[in-house]
Amino acid sequence: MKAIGTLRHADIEGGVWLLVADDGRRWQLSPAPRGFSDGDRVDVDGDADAQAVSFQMAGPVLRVRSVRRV
Amino acid sequence: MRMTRIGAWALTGLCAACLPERPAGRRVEDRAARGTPKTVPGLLAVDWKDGTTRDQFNAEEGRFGIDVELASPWGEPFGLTVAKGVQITEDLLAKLRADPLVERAEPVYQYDALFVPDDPQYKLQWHMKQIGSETAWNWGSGEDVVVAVVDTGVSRLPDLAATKFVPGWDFVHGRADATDDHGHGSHVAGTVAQSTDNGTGVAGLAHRAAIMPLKVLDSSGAGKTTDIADAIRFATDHGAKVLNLSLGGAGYSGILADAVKYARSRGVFVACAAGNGFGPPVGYPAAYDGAFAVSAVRYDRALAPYSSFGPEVDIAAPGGDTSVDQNGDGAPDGVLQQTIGGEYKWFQGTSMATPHVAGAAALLAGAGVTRVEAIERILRSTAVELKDRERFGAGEVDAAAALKHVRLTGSLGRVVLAVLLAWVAWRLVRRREGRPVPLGWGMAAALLLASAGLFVLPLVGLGHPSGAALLSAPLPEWGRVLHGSRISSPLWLSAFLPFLMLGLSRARALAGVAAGLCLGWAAYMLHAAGTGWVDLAWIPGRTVEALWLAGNAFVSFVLGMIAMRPK
Repeated sequence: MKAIGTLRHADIEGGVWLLVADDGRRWQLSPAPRGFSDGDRVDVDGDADAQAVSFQMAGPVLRVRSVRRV
Repeated sequence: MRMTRIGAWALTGLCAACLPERPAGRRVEDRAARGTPKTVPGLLAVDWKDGTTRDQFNAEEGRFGIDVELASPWGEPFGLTVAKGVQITEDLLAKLRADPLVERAEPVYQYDALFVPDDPQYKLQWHMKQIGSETAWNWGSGEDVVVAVVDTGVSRLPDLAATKFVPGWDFVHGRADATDDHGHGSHVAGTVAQSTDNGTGVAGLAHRAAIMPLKVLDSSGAGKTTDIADAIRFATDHGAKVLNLSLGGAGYSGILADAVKYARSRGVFVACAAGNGFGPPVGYPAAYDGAFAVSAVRYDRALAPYSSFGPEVDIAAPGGDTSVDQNGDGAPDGVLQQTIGGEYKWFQGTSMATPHVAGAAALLAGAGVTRVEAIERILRSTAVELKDRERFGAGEVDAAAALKHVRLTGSLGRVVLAVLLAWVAWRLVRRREGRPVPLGWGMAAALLLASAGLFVLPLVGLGHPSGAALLSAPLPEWGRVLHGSRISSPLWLSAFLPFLMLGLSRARALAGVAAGLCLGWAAYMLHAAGTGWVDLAWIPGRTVEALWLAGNAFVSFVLGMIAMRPK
């Protein structure tokens, strides 16, 4: 799936990257994107992983294939 | 009668001899190292010579420009007075001390708690004090209760050196060594049982509990439901009483739901983080049946902004908010523990809130509440209510109130019950068989030790030394304490030991002691049957257990009557 939105870095559990998509949904990105900053507008390509478990617990996990700025 | 008294003194002497001592040099060092104690601003204590009358000190006070009044109505014979709003200077103190009527003059010091650990950074752990850590520690510290930390693993950090560990497993790599390669699990384990009063770093809530490290999350923090389910079953089957699951996901997994049910149905307390979803819903496993879901609050007891919440939330605990410093200690209001690399870090999250609840559950289990339903009920009923149930459940966990409820209220209840049973038994024996053995000190001491233990030790500040856990526990709990078992033995909680003690009553002098032990034991078992606090091994179901306890209490009562019979 593809999702466009804003990258957010939240300082919870030692740090987690979130995508606040334009459709209002929030995804926890795994693995964490590198070379981006909080507030970047991005287009993320990945797979929703409904069964993912993590200690960040910040929302449904999106297994990231690629991220690019828009 | 004289022999009974001797028996009582011997018993008291034995108890005193068993009292663990802190190293002799320690107290002196404490006095020097802790320096000036905290004073109450503007409050001055003046102790006049005994017998000084109110008129006399009222006449004297004008010379010093202070207005003294009795510290309490009981202070008059000793002349202990206080003066408010005083600018206390060395000069004033010297003048007062030079007055022939003044015995002592000093600032009023504030004594906060009976046990404050010497860990230097403990003062920054607002999250411990917020849930009543210091009072709780005086009543217990989770002695030998096994807490499984299902997380990224736990490393044997310097500030976990004195903490007990039991063997765990690394489910990610399939090996026995469950060392932490992220830091999250070690931080969580620190909140549960960081080595405390070791002069290093910070404190942990249930610092005499044992940690079972179970690694199910990899170094990025992600894990598989199958590994977590296996870890939960492993912990349940290897003696864990409390599970800490500071992890979660959005998707329902039947396998994980079954594993939580498996643990809970076998008497294991399962603390789960509600999640960091910045609002509803509560994640899994916290939302499964049998899980005890924990939301996170800040220093001001408002819900932390990141915390998930919903109808499944059972309780709230400090998870921190590192973006604020509401307590003004110059540090972010996160949860402070040691993590890998040896650093002390402020983390925030429902992961950090959860081990405060797991620790509180371990404290209760260590204090003799072995039934999981009772642990949950007590945590809920003693929580500081915060109104909104979806956000906070029953409220913020209060370890001090929970432990006091068990150790103080519970013990007092059992003592009253024991005295009542002794009185009824004595009356019955007198009516049927003539004059029973006298109600001496020996019987009183035996009643106390068997029904409640020396539960007053914590009240006089002797609750923390390690052996105090045994002495302040009632005799029927000694089996569990000595074996470090997570459930109570039906042999110790039966009329078997009272029956053996009946042998004592053959010696005339010890008949009262034997009767006291039997009746104290009966009171303990009757109380346990009523409250449902203890979980008996091998006996299935609450009802059967209650019948077992009540039946054996009755037999012990009859044994007590036999011991009381006229000799």
